[in-house]
Amino acid sequence: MMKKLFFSLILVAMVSIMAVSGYSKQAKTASPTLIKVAWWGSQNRAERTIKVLDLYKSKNPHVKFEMEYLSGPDYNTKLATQAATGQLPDLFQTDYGWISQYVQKGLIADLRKFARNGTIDFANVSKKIVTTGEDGGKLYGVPLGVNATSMFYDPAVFKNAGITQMDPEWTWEDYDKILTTVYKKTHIAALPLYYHIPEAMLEVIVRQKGYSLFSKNGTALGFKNPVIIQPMFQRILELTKAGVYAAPEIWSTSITTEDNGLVLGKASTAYGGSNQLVSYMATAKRELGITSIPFNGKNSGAYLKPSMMFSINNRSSESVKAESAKIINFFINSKEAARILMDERGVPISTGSRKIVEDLSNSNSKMVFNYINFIEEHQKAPNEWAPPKASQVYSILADLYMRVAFQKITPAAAATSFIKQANAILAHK
Amino acid sequence: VLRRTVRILTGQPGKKIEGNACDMEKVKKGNFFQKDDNIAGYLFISPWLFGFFAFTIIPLLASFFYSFTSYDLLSAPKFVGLENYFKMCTNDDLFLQSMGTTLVFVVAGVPLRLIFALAIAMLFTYKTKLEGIYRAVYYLPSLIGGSVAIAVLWKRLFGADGIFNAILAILGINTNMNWLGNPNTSLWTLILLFVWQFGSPMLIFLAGLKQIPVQLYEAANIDGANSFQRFCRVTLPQLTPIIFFNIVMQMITAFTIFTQSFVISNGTGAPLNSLLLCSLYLYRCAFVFFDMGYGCALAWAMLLVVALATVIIFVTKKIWVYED
Repeated sequence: MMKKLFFSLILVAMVSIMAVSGYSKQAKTASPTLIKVAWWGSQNRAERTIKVLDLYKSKNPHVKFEMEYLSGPDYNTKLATQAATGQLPDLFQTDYGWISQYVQKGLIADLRKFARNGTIDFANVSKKIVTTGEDGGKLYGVPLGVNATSMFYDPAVFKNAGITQMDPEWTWEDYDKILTTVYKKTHIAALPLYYHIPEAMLEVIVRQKGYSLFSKNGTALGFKNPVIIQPMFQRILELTKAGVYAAPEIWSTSITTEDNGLVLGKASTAYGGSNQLVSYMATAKRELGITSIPFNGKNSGAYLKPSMMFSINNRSSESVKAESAKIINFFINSKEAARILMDERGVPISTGSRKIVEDLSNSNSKMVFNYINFIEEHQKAPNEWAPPKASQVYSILADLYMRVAFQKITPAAAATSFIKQANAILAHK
Repeated sequence: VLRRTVRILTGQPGKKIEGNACDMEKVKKGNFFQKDDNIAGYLFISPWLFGFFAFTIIPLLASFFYSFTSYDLLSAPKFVGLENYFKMCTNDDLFLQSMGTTLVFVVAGVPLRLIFALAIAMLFTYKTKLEGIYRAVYYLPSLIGGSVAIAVLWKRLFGADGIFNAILAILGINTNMNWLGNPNTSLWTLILLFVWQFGSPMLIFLAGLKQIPVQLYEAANIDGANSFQRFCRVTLPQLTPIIFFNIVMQMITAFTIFTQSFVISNGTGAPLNSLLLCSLYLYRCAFVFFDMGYGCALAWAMLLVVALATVIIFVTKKIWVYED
C-alpha cells in the first residue's frame, strides 16, 4: 500500500514537472537565433506578414520565428502584460499613439546604430517619415507604412446632389455647405466628423491653428483657450440639429467597419486613416471616394503618420537585435516583401517599394496613393508622440463630443470642461 | 458508530502500546488507512486546489495589495496608501455614475427576472407530455445568454433596422429608433437581455414548487380559496426560502455582469456611458488606461457593495422568509 502510494505520488510529480517544463524545452531545442515577432491586425495582415517572414527565413535559414498576432485591443493588453513580466517579444508592432509609454520605461531599443551602419537603410525614405519614429534624437520605431486622416464619401450620393468634383483643398465653410446640399437633395445624412475617434479630428483642428495637441513634455495640452476647439463641438451640434449629421442614436455604438453607416449605405460620409479606404470599399462592395479633412483657410493640419511601426525589445540579446533590424530592413526595402505586403499597412515608406506597390495596385489603391502624395506636399512637421495618459484624455473627449450631439451639454461648456479635465489627467503623476 | 469504535480500537491505542510485531503491523495499517483517506482525497481535488489557489486566492490577495498602489504594468507598483479609494469617493464622477447604472440594473433586473422565472415555473407545474422539452427550451437562453454571440444578436435585434422595430411596425408603430444607441433606452435593453436568461432561477423555483405539500392546497380548496388566494397564501409563503436564495444568487450575478455591456457598447460603455456598468468601468481603468491600482480598488469597492447588499437581504430575512 505504502509503495503504491509512493509510486503514484512520484508519478503525479513527474507528470506535472514534465507538463511545466515541456514548453521551455521546446523553446530550447530551437535553432540559435529565435526571434519572437508580434503584431496586431486582421487575418489578411497576418497572412501577408507570415509570408514575408517565411521568405526571410528561406534566405536566412539560421533564423526561427515565433509569431503572435491579435486584434488591436487584445494586443495592447497582452503587450502590457508581457512587459510587466519582462517577456516582451523581440520584434513587435508599435503604435504612434502609445509607444511613448514603452520608450519612457526603457523597454524599446534605440535603433540609431543600425541606421548608421546601414542594417536599416533609409536612403530612399523621406526624412520627415523617419522622424516620426524618433524621440529625443533617438530612433525607437520604424514606420511600416504611412497614412493620413481623411474623409470617405459615397460618390454616387454626392453625384445625385450635383457634386461631381471634390476639391481636396476645401475649407470648413465648403464642408458645411456641401454636406447640407447633399442632405437637402438626397435626404441621406452625413456621419459626424471622426465620431468614433474624435482625437484624430481634434489633432487636425488644433494643428490648423498652429498649436500641438500636447505640450512638449506631455504634462498638459498644447493649447489653453477653449475657443480653439469650440468650433468642432459647435459643428456637431448645429449639423445634428439641422439633420445634416445623422442622429447620435445611429452612430453612438458603431465602431467597426461593418457597422459603419457609409458602408451600410445609410450615410454619405465616414472618416478614417487613408489606409482604411480599401477595407471600407471591400466591406461596402462599392466605389467610395477619399478626400482631405477640410482646411482652415490654407492650412491642412494633416500629416503623414506611421500607420504602425516596428520596434525592438531593449532586453533582447545583441545578436537578436541585429537580426531583428535586418528583418525591419527587409520589410521596408525588399522588393519581394513589398509585393507581398502591398499597402495593407499603409503606403510603403521607401520610394522603391512605393513605386512597386503603386504599379501593382488597382485604381482604388491608386486613389489612396494620390491622396498621400497630396498630403505629403501640404504637410507641416509631424505631431509629437502622445503622452502615456493620452488614452484617458481621448476617452473624455469622445464622451463630451457625444454629449454635445445628444444636446446634454453646450459646445462652450464642453470645450472648457475638456481642457480642464484633460490637463488634470496629464498633470497627475 | 461501529466503524469509529473499530478505528479507536485498532488505531488510537497503537501509539501507546508497543506490542509484538503482529500488533505493530496492525497498528501501522490502521494509522495508514486514516491518513490514506485524506491524502487520496487531497490528490483527487489537487487539480481544483491548484486552480483555486493559482487563479482565485492568490490573485484575490494580489488585487487587494495592488489596490493600495499606483501601477501601470510597465513600471513597478508604487504604494500610495488609500489614494485610490479616496479618489473614488471624492473625485470620480464616472465611478459614481457607473455605480448608479449598476444599481438600476440590479434593482430592476433581478426582480423582473425572478418574476418571469416564477411565472414560467408555475406554468410547468401543469403536467404536459412535452414538459421535458419545454423545460430544456426555456433553459436554453441561460446556457448561451452570457456569450458574445447573444450580445451581438441583441445588438442586431434592437438596431434601427432590427427585428424589434419590424415587430413594432406590424403593430402599427413606425420607428427607426436604435434602442441600444439611445442613452434613455439602452440600459433597459440590456436589462431585457438579463431577464431573458431566467433559466436557472426557474429550475430552482420549479424544484421549490414541487416541494410544497399538496395537503396545503387541498386544505385551501376546502376552505374555498380561489387560485389567486392559493397563490398568495400558500405558494408564496412556502416559496420564500427559495425566493430568498434566488434573490441573493441573482443579485450577485447581476452585479458582476460584464460580457453583454462590453460587447454591445464595443467596450466603451456608450452611448453616453449609459451601459458603463461598474464591472466595465473597472475593466476600462485596468486594461484600457492601464491604471491597475485603481482598477483593483474599484473591484474591492464593488465587492464591498455586493457584500453590503447581501447583508441587508440577510438581515431582512427574519421578516419575510417563512421557515418551519
